[in-house]
Amino acid sequence: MRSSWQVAWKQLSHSKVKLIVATAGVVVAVLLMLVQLGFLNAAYDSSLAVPKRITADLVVLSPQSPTFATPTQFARRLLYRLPAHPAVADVQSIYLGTGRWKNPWDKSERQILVYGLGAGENMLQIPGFADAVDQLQQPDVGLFDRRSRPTFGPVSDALSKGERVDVEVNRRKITIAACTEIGVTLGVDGNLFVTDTNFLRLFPRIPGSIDLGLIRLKPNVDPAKARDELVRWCGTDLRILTKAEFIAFEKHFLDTGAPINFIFGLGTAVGFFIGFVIVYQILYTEVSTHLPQFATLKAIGFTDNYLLRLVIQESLILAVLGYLPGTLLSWCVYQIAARETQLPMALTMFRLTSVLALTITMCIFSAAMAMRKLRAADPADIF
Amino acid sequence: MNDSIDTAAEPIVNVKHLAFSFGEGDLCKQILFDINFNVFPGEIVLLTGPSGSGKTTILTLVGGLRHVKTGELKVLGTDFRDASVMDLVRTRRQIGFIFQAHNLLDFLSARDNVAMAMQLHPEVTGTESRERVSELLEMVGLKDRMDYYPAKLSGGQRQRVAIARALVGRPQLVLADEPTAALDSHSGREVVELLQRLATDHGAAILMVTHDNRVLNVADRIIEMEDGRIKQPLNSP
Repeated sequence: MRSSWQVAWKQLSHSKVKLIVATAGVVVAVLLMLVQLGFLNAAYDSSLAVPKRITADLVVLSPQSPTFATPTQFARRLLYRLPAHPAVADVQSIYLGTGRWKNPWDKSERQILVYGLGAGENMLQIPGFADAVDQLQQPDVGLFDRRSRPTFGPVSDALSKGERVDVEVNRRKITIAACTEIGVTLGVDGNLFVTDTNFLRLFPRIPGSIDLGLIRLKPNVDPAKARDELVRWCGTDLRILTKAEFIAFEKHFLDTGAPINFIFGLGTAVGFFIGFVIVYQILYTEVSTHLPQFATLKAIGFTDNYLLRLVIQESLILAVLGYLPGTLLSWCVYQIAARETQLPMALTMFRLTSVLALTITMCIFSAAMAMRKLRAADPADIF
Repeated sequence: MNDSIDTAAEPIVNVKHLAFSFGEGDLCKQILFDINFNVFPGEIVLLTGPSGSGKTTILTLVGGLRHVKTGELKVLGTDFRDASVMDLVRTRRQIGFIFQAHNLLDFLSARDNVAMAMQLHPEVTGTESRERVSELLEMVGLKDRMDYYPAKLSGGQRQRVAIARALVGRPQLVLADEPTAALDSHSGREVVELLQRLATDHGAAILMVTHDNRVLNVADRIIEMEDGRIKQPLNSP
């Protein structure tokens, strides 16, 4: 009994039920905060998975495209004018389309994002595309993203067993040659990669109408400067962005076009608030039922600061007690969520420390509210 | 009678022309008028008188729980009239308080309740403080109940834990407010005898408010209060 920590612990642990309730409150708060922040980050990380695979220096979009994944088409000839500029080394056009995938196992239909890429060197790095290009150049052959949602069927498992996988996309029979690993987003459930020729078989359209343009610049050219000059050529017909600007553009779409920040931010705030209310309620009851005793402690020479410290220490003990099982539970939820949604759910060090900081803040905040009551403990009243 | 009283020494409590009132302006109600008395080391002084006569107010003033506005009050060498809050707190740490309600912390065992008071005396080592706690609990007859929680102790036993808590810091002055009020005559007698032994053994002075006629014979001096004044300083019986 030489330290106030021991007193704090004995006060908290005297009633096991109270201790469990308070700890459970913190566990729920930690769980909610970690899971909500996990989904928020997964939404960002997954949406940027494809943009980050672009190796081009500049990206060309229609000014009407809100994001590359739901593009408005533009004329390929606009893109093909650009190599006339001395800074441009190479350009590449990419087709994008949302097709209907019929799951050959349960016959259900899903929307899948189909990429039409060139058979040669691509400025969009899709692992395994170049290796399988001989097969992919055959008519109606595709490369499937094995991290598409499970509803598309066990394509990867079937392939690894050596089975032949024929599926129906936009009412055409497509043979899956191999799998790659890219990852899906909140808006895109699955990815299929085909050559441009095969793309036009799936999506009959004017070949000159493309969705995404990529530009490789000559060495030692400043991308921002080249962008400025190219924009002067194209006027308002094209949106030309450097790679960094393109990633910022996609992020901006998530921030404004999709309310994920708000939804998951609110979830995090709710977690914080639940924890705060439960811890506050427990500490407030502890303080108010012990007011005469605390007043006695003040009378015999304990300072206000000692009692404030006692309440803060109790809140910190609760923070630590709740944080550990809360993290463990969150880890389990992350595993389940990652399996079910195929979203990249990683319990990063940064998120763990931020949530620890949030939990401690939450508990200290509760303690600060609870100890306003302490001022009512007047030692002169107990005689 | 107590032979260890040394009236030649500096008084532990020195009260001169002390007055006290609650409230301000028109609502001002004077409680104490021109109080004068001293308490010397080793002395047991009883404060008696009807309810509302100001006994407890004197105790709170001497205990540094209220600020002195009029008159002089010196306790353990500290002048309370211009003492800061921290001075009062420091002086309180050298006083043993025994309240009518024991106010033990229900989440601490008897031992821990007493040991907690030792946190106010960081100069005492851990081993010594543990020894003192056991020694005192033994002295108040709770040797077998040291690890009991207050809920498992009788009223008299709780009061004795509170006394052990008040005495563990070896105070030079003990202030007690009706320590026997909640006890039966047997336990009450025991508590008072315990306090008396303390005064003789450690030379502590005791200032006790009581209504209890059964304990009057332990006093070296009785101060009788009426309407906020000392009626007449009686010499010991």
